[in-house]
Amino acid sequence: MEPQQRIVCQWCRGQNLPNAVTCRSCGAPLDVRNTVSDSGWTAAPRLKNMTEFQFSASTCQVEGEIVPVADVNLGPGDSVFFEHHVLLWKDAHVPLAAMPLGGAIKRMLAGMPFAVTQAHGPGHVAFSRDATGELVVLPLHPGMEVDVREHAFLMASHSIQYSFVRIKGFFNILFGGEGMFMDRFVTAGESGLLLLHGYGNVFQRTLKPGESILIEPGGFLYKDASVTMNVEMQPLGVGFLGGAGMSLARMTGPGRVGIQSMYKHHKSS
Amino acid sequence: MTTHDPGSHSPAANHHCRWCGASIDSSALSCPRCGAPAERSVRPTNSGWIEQPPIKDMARLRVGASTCQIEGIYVPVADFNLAAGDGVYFAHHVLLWKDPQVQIKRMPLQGAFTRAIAGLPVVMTEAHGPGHIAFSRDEPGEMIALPLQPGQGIDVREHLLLAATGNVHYDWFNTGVWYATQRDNDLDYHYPLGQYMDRFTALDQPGLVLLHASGNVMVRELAAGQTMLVKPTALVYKDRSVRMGLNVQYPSGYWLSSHRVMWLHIAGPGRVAIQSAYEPVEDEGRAIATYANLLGNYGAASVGPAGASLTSMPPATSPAPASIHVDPRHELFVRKVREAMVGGQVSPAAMQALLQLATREGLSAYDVRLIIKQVQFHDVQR
Repeated sequence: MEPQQRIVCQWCRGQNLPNAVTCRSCGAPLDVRNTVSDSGWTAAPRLKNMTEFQFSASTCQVEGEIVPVADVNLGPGDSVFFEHHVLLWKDAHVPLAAMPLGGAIKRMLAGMPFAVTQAHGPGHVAFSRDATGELVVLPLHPGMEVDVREHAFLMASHSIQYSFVRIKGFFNILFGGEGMFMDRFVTAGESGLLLLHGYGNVFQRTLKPGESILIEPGGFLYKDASVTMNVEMQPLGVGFLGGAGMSLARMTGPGRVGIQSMYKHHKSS
Repeated sequence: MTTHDPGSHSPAANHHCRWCGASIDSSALSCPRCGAPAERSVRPTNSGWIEQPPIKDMARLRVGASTCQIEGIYVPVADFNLAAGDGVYFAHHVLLWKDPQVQIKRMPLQGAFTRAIAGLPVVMTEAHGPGHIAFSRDEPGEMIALPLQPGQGIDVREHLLLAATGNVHYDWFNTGVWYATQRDNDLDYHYPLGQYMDRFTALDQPGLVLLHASGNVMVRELAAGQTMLVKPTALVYKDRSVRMGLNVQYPSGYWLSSHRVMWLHIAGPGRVAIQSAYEPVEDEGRAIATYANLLGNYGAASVGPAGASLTSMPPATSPAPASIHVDPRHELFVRKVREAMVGGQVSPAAMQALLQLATREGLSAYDVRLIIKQVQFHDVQR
């Protein structure tokens, strides 16, 4: 018996049937090549309007392109969690509940949401954010850890463990545009789905071990937990205002780094 | 996605960019100098505007030994690959990422204090190759690549610069577009366009200026003497030859003086570009005492509704309105206006004759009314 050929998605490495035009795990178009810049950044796949993909017993349909909506059809027993300000609409019978979180006071002090909300299937619930941008679909396989800038995650499936990490170091707290904490998403024994919304356009680059890149902290969107982040001061010279400098985040591999092209500069915002 | 580097092909160019005139290799998808899609025709709207061709995702521009790749469509990124010895400068808040080996430092600027007061970036930053450095802004919009040939210059509204190559000279100038409102015995001055504009000039080598505009960008070429009203914050760039002034209109039917529309009054010859998404002009609503009009003079507030003050006190940076200064070509017209006035007024018949004369001199009806107002204002003051 001849083995059936599969199409491997270049974004999430998911396997798809030969006649598929979009990836069933992340929705990335399979009929176009990845867009990679000369400097090595891969553009996040532009999800076609009305694209569908699956996770667990649920599906998600992407609607719109300028500020896309993630319209989730939750299967029975499935649930997703999210920050309440991204909720766009839901079926009346879909119950909402607060997800218990540790360190509530710390989160409040850091400006992170005090409560994360859960929606339980079956039924539809839809999410969107407040500015032009792109949906970034990150299927997480068991054992993966991803750090995301605060307020950038749209929703995550129930199998993903959610916590937050404090960015260590005085400089990071003082100058890091993403604040003192980042969201951390971890998968244990089961795969999960993480949806982000990046402002503007989103690009991803995979750093080799020891490879570094300097990023404006406001442009940072996500990274693998294996990527270290340290904020560095870049002095701009001497003389009048010579003491002025700018802070950039040094990201060092190995692992993926995602950036967004539209951000509020952390000193002018 | 398949991309193509026009600069990597043989120089056997067989057509020219319809936008900037650069030679384009027959197989290129976009112009190597301005990024305009090679296949795109330049088609004006019915009203005479031409849409600035959006630069395609991953298009490459070539500047000297360096390249710049435009990435993304909503908020495009300009990703420079700087060759050794090449440099770019930028306002530090547009930096997105850079290679660790790319050195950045402060670019010396004159008048830092004045710039700070005017809300312009006090510090410009420069970066030197070799290596990659990328820039983006904080609003959805379009990237505009303006290749400048030696001697060519362009005026850009403040805060729109993304980056310019090191061989482009940077300067800034007072826009002269202002109005004053009266509070008790004081005049408050307002600058709907911003107090200053950036001016970029290529001196002895070609250079590149990259701008980021909000929304879509439309461009038109104004003929000599042709005038137009645009929203001040919609202006993106203009040729140096385009003159500017303020125009205030009071739509009929409103009884409050605050119901007014601020316009930037522009006059050719030259190119002008506007953006479709713009910030509202902040207008506190108090009665306007005086403002600077297109002819470099001070418009009388009597253009506005009854009750507006005629007090005129120009800012310290502007000359006092001792006389009417108009383009020397129109001095004869000003004399005709004075001759036509009886008791400070122009009769309908005389107005008809003036309008006919104005048409022959390339002046619009609006210009005629402005000149009449100035003559009235000046003669009353005298």
